[in-house]
Amino acid sequence: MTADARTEVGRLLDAARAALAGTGTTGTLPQRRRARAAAVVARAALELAVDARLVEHGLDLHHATMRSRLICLSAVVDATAGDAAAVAWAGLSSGCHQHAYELSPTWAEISHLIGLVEAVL
Amino acid sequence: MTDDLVETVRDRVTADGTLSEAAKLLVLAALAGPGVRAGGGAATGGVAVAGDPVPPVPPAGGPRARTYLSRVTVSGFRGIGPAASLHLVPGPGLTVVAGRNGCGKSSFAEALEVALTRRSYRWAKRSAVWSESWRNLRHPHPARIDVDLAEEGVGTTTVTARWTSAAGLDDVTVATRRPGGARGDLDALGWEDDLDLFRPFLSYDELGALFAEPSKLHDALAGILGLDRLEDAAKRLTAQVKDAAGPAVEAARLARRLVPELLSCPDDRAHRAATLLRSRTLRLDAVAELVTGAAGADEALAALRRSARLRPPEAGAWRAARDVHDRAVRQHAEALAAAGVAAVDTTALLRAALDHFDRHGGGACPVCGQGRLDDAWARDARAGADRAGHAVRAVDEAAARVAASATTLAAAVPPPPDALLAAGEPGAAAAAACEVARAQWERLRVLAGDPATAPADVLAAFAGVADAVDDVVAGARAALAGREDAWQPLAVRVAEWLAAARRAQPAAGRSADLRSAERWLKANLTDLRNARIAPLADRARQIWSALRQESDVDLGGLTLEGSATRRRVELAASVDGADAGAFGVLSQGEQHALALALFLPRATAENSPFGFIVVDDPVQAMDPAKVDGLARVLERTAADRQVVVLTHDDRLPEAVRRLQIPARILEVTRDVGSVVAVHRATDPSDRYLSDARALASDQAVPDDVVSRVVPELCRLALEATCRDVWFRDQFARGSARVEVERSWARARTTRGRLALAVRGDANASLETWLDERQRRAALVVCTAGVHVGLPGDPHHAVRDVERVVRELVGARG
Repeated sequence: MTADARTEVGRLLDAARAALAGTGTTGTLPQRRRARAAAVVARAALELAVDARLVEHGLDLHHATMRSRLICLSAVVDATAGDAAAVAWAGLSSGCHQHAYELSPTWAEISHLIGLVEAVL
Repeated sequence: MTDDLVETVRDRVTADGTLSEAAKLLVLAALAGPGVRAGGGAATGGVAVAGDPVPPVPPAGGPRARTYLSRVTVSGFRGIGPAASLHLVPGPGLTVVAGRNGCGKSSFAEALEVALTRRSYRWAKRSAVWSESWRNLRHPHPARIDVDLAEEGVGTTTVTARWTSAAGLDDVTVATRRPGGARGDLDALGWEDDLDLFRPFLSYDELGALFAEPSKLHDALAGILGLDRLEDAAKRLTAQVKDAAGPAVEAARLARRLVPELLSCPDDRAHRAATLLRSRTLRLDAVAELVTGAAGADEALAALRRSARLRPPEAGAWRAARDVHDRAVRQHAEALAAAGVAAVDTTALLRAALDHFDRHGGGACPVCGQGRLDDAWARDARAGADRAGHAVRAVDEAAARVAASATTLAAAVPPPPDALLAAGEPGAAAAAACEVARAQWERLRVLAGDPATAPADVLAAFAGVADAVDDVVAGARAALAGREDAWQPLAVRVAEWLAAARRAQPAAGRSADLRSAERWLKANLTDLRNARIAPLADRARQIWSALRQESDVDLGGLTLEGSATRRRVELAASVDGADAGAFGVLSQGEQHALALALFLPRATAENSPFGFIVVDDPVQAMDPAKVDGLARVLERTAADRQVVVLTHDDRLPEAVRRLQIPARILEVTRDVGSVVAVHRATDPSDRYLSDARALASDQAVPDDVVSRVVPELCRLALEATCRDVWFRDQFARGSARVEVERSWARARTTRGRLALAVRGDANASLETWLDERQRRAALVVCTAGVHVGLPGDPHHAVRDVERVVRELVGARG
């Protein structure tokens, strides 16, 4: 993985953590929105991380669906990272969306998923 | 686990320098079970030599053969009407049985439990109304459950539970049929204890109930850890201590009551007995002598006995002496009269004069002074004295007899005996009586010795002495009798004590060993318990850490505390680093997660004969994050166990799919008329094939990536299916688990694994099987394709492989 990609993923994850904690520029967010904001940022970081790892192995799936990318990550690159990425993707995706009938993701849940994104790298 | 326990105890016992070898053996023997006694003689069997305490336990076998579930077929029972089957793949792996509430999936779990245990946890807790409605309402008869079990080393055994049309739930008849047709009842499986111990059925209800009653949780954990064996061993030692100490305790008890009474008894023997009984060093022989009377009597007793034997002086002897004396006096008087007193006197005078003459010679008569005493006179005088001599001698002799008889008379009454002199304490009644008797006796002696006393007076004195002596004798006898009355019953009890003490003597050494063995085990019980529980606590912690996800509760040590009615499980926990009593801080969902964390290790203990566990609705009350954790825990457990999970909602199947956990997902549906059906929703190969299709369909994925990744996914799908088929067939046949797994691991190539599934042998030829075009094409995709890429349309490749996968599952299923 290029140093650039790694730095960028790290920056996004820091931002996600800051959003979750309510510090930094996201400090003005009301508490009930923080987890969702963090999920959005972390999901972007995950996408970046998965792409970076695929590129490392000469797989350019930039335009493929995330499912295809995750399948390839598991099958070709690293099964453990692939599993972590799949779980994080599912969790963060549902965390990003506001559904009338679903509860907001909890602080601990998002924080756990951020940890999984890190494991993808 | 059993041997493990003995091992742990042995290590501790051996390391303990304060315990004697005999006591160590006793601890180990008590652990080995009832009926095993160390050093108890012939019945003990293999008692080890001192220095190397090897307990007499059965030799440890290899790992226990495991049994898996192949199929559960149920009809007329609970939610299931006409016969419905739940097909399972025997062998390790995860199966999720999903279905809406009321679809009948739990009926399968209950049916399984009833068939194997004759009871169901759910019903045991409910009212009669509940258990009476166990039959399916629309299809009440026949009610029947068939469970096919794949027994390692045996093959497929069928357990059948049947009810007659009028039977209640408890009137079930359970029969087993082993391969080869051998029939038996439920006991033929030999699982009664194991089912209690390892409980391969975990239901939501049961898990929740464990936390409601701390003692239940304690018992369940204690049972699995073999801790009840420790408690039993301690109890056995206590019983043995009691047994061995019985006579000693009895002796001590007797002595405790006896000693004060002995001390309050006036008899000296009682005091001596008390001293002996209280002595630290037992002198049983001395006690025996005391009781049997062989011991010498004490002085006071001897004196009393002498007093009791006292006799008054005999009047007869005195009377005879007095008669003799009186006669002698009379005869003297008569002789004197016969000789004439003057003649006697004259003769005496002449003899005196002759005597004088003989000594001093003749001369003037010293009496008259006128005559002369000379030889002539002497001659005449002698002649004269001789003439009178006869009569005078008679008088002399009579006088001598008088003197002699007077002496005899004086001694006719003996002096008072010593007994009268020494008897009793001065001032006491007995002493006063003696005093009187002695005075009377002395007076009698004076009177009787005096010939002048009138015989009547003497006789009266005799009578007085006799009365006085009688008084003394009567007193002494009364005192003696009193002492015997007090001593005799005490002597009997001292004899009882003696018997108990004699019984206790040989057990004394063993008793001391037993006591120290008991003390040791009790002192070490808590330590042993917690040493035993540590590995389980570790596993529980691992499971908990997977389950907890976002719980801020950290699980600490797990200990079993208390005993009897106060026994309970203590769980250390911290919330955000601060200590907290665990049960209080846990949410309902967390409690269930924890119960699962504690009981998965129990159900999957190494020495359990059950290769399967059935978990009914673990997901209730769990939040989404924990469901993920649960899925991971189940995945890990399924690595070497057959895990069957029943769940009423989508969350677990969804998590399993999302987390890409290899699992078979079955769906249970229920139609009108209680017609229950089980559909195969997905199995592990489905996931790979669906991934392969998704990739092939994604136009944005470059062809080279598709042709690289799709064959890999196809290979994974085919191998997953081959593995299932191989394991299912082998376990159904009863092959040894280790062998089945080893053969699979050795068959490294896809072709070899396919040969295992198709031919049952990795090296067997597949040529005739591969004659069919599609089969060969599928194998080519999964082998050559992986290395050189796909030759043609990836969709065709996936379809070929899928067809073979279906064929393999179908042909053998």
